[in-house]
Amino acid sequence: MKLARARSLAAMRREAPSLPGAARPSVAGARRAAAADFARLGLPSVRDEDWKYTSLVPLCEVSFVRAAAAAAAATLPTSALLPHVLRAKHLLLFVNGRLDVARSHTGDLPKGVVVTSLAAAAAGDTAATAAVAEGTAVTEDEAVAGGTSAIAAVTATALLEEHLGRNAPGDARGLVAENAALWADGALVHVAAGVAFDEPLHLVFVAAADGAAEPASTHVRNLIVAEPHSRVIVVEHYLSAAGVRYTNAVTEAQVRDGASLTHYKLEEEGLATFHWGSLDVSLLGGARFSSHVLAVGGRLARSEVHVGLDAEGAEARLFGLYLPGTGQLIDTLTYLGHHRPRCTSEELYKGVLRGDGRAVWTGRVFVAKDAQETSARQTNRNVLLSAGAHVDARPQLEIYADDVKCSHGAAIGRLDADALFYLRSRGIDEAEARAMLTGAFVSEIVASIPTRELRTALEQTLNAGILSLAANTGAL
Amino acid sequence: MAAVPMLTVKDLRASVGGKPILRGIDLTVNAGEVHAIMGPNGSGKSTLANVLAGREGYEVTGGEALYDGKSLLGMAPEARARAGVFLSFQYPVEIPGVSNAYFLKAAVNAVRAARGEQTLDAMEFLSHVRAQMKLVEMDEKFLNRAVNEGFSGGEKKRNEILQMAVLAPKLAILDETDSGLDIDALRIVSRGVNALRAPDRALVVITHYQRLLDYLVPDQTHVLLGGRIVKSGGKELALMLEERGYGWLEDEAKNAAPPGEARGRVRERTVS
Repeated sequence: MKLARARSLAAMRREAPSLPGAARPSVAGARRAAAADFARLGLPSVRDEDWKYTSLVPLCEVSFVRAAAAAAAATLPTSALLPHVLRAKHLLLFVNGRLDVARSHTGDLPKGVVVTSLAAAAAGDTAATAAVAEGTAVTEDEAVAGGTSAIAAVTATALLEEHLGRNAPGDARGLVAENAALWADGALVHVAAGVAFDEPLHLVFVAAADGAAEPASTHVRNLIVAEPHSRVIVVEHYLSAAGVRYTNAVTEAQVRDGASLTHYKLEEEGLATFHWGSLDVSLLGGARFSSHVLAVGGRLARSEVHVGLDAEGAEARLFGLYLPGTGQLIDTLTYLGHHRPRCTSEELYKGVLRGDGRAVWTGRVFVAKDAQETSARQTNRNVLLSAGAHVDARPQLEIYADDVKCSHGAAIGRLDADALFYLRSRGIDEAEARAMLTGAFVSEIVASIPTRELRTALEQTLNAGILSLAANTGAL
Repeated sequence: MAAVPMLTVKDLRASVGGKPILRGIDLTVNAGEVHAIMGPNGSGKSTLANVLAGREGYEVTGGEALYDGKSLLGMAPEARARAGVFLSFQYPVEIPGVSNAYFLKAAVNAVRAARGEQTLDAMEFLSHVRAQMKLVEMDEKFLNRAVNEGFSGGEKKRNEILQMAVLAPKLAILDETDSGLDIDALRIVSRGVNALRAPDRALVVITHYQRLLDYLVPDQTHVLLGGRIVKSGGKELALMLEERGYGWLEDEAKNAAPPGEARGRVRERTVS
């Protein structure tokens, strides 16, 4: 672990001059501070309570280089979950951690919505930022002349300077500090007050399938700010194919008074990839937040969701589905911080484990002393399809207020034997019966997806894949 | 020459958790017949049904069960169903997340494919099942609901008979179909079962109370006591049991056994 820390620090020193914002003191300064935090914190070990069941030693044993820029039309891995995502209306595609301008398009954004590359915003590169924000390749002259684009560009840089790092301070978690020092690109999304952006914005992070020999790493950072009474839907998608890779992704989001953020994370990394991602959200008064995490890939994939219910009347709904198979460990950590009174949270995570797959689920709910009239419901259910599968489930409730409604339940079991026999007694063979019951178990999470086009697409994909899943073969 | 009996059970013995429940069942059922099996709680009625259906957790320790002359006991549950065996459960399980339509279509097509028949597409399935739903007076809305989820006792039993109607088995075993039913539900269920009587179909009706047999008049009635069939007769046997209970049979068994033999060992006698 010490060696890995040293390697990362060396990478931070080495990469700093070429990372976005190197010429801006605020951004460069933030990176240096993050490097110092990382030097102090290092990477988490299993002695860390939050990492008790997940060892990063396999990750530390690999020496990663920063993923090189991919060729212009590099082959992209295929997605099982959303095969049509590249045809989405609003799409930012990042290949090997860099925006692929040619294959991205933000077409027809509502007035008041800024979507751009964080790297361009950090560099204060108005032309590039504007080009992305408008979804066109624009010359500098055109950018200067076009008022809206220029304004958007300036806004983006200002937003970055104001908000970056606010929600995900790097001083407590080593992996966040590492991200703060090394992030190379990502999306900046800003929705002005009162603006409803009701079409999903897809942020796709792909490792090109170029058969790179060396293990390569990608650090991405996304920033989402939803001003009061605005609405936005963001879908983050992580894809890689074969090859040893390391993805470190942090998304920070602020959902201001009365605003709404609907967020999805689809994690489909390759089976030799290490993936760590954290979504850090602050909710203000009456804000609404829903999160769905679907995790199917990675050799080791950990998704964290940290929510601060930071003003009265905020609502958070967290859903997740993890489907590890042999050779995989899929880890989830959620944190719901009820810091103010009269907030509501609801959480439902389900896991289906096959082969020798492993999962860890830690669900923490914190209710502060004066967070009265809190309502917090938390459920985790796991189905083991084979004897070799293993899950560690830890619901953790820390409640200091006395006028609250908090419930939690975690269950681990197998498919209902009575239901299985019932289906078989009607002529349905065992494999199909197991698939039907597994599909039924998973359907609750899919049914909870509020964005209709996503829900339909996932229903079809999961139904098609469930049969092989239940029969214990590898791919979804 | 007599046709091969639909069901031949010879000296069937089975245990649950090491405890012997069936202690030598003999039973022969021919196509077109309705047999009733009655007995007090704990006599082994449900065990017999579950062993014939192939449920796990039951250890067959002796004897045999032949379906159309072929051994039933080695067959997987789905194989038995595809061969035309149907068990109507005493306590039908709820299956959230699986709709009745999805389940029933998968089942009927599995059975039809096994028989070399054309499978049904969604439209064909719907019209096929509509007629059967009328038989058990079930609203089409049930098709979209999850299997048995939130169903009353009567609705669950009607769903069992609906499945029987749709799957058209050759041998149907009804395990305490009347338990938990009110008068109206009993009438509907019985009417449905009666409509499914056919010369090429056999019914084994397991029941605790006699009243079902007023509607489903059996050709033969058997009494199961202590894991064995101790008496067989016509429909009047059921009425006798209704009047006198099971005690007299237990006494008969005790008195008939030579001194020194364990209670429960009886020779079979039939009362015509």
